[in-house]
Amino acid sequence: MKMDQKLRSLAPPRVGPFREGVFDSPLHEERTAAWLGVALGIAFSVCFLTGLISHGIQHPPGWLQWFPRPSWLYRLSQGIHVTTGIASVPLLLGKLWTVYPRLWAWPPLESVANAVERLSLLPLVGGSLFLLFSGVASISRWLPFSASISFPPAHYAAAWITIGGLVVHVGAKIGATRTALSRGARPGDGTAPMPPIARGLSRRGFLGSIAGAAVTLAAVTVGQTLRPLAWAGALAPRDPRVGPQGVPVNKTAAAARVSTLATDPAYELVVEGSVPSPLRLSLADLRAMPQREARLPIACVDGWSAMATWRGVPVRDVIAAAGGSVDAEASVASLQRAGAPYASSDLDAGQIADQDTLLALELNGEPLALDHGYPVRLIGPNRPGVQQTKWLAKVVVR
Amino acid sequence: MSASHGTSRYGPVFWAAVAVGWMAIAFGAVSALTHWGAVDPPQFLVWIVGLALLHDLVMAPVVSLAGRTLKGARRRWWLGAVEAALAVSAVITLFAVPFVMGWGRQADNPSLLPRNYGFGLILILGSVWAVAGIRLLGRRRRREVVVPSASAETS
Repeated sequence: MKMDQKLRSLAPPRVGPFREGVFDSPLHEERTAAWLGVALGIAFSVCFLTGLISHGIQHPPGWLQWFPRPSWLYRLSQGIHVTTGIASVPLLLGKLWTVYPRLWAWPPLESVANAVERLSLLPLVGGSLFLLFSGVASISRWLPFSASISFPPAHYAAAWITIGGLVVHVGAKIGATRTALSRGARPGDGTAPMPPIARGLSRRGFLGSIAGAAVTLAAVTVGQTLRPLAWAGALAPRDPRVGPQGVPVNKTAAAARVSTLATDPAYELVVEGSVPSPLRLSLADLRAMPQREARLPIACVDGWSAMATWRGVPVRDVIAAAGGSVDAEASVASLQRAGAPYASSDLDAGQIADQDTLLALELNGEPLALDHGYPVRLIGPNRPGVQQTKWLAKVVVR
Repeated sequence: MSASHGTSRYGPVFWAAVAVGWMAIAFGAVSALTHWGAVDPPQFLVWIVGLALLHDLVMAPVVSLAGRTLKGARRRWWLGAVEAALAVSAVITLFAVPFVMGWGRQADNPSLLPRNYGFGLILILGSVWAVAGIRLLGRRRRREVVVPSASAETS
């Protein structure tokens, strides 16, 4: 109480943002903030959960068996993650603008609890801005960070920091939000509907504009994963129809520095590990094995996806040919130098048991283009694109 | 009544949220620290604090100043629609910057950023202002019908 009174007795500095009436828009008010807060809370929760799914698949904890069916689940989950993140940009900026005068509230701290609440806004605001900024930069492949910051672990750490700040904020604001949105809010209690503004933007107009911006941004980007809307993807970083053989490419053979090895006529796929008869299979050997065709999406963590027809040899058939057990696990490694990012990926027993998990040789009726992983790539149902390893050098059975 | 968020605002729900929330924040911080080589925690912190400061000390003041400039025209009947179109245009343009600039383009990968994003942005902004124009036309017609005296006053 004492601290409370002492702080209140401080005269506010009447300069800059502390001047009275400096934020005179009637839109800096609780009901607007509450509506945007609810929308943003939902959007960030969706992004957090879908983000955890994507992280969990790529860094599976021991207890997680990622199932291969339905084959479109990762595509859907990551499409939702990226599209919701994009739609959050106007929501976040609108929300920050609405509550901006509170940054300059006087006295700056009212109590210990108030200090804790305000301190928790830094991880929330800074984390939110970092998440959306790094996310948009990542899908456009812009690298604004120095090489010492890699996107996935930084985005992941920022997600926890932001969601923690969000939990504190919800705890502090849930009562005020409920009051502000209740139908019974009456003039005079600070939560009333705004007095009608003769001119200028109304609350409904402001919220409608933000919703319009969010829907517009979603609509002009979601075509990167939703092919029927590809034509509308004016700001989509990918077009699911554009790329070699009609499928976009994430990393080219040149960028992966595998062009020479991948086109070597003496190429052989090595099948080794815990198998009684390790194999070295030439491209001709692989083509001579029974082929299987599968319609599967390739779904990138960047949020684009494209459906394609793949043809090749089921992984389980190759493991069986080497005498491997039916419940084997395996990893596949590309021709890239060991340790290069995403140069290998793991297949658990469930993935291998699925007959559509292929060592693909063909894409949309043609031999794989070099940038799609010629001579052999992995393609399996319900896997993130980074785990659909290209330019395979070997299959290591465990 | 305003008493509801005077006294109960910092009740047990708040302190429980503080405990859970800061555990998540600590988890994120530990995750950054244990991936030192891939996250570079000092620089990561500079980005998080820096983006908050960039917003609070540059972006928000610029928007506030723009709003005050428009406020000179507060009595104008077109203000609301213009404010809305400006805000929507600003947010969409901000989002579009890395695409229009093509900062992520890679010479050997034409499937990445395959479109003319400048043209796309112009189309989107054109639609935004077309909507604003249609709203203004509707409003003007209503004004002329309902309050002919008010239009005489401003013109």
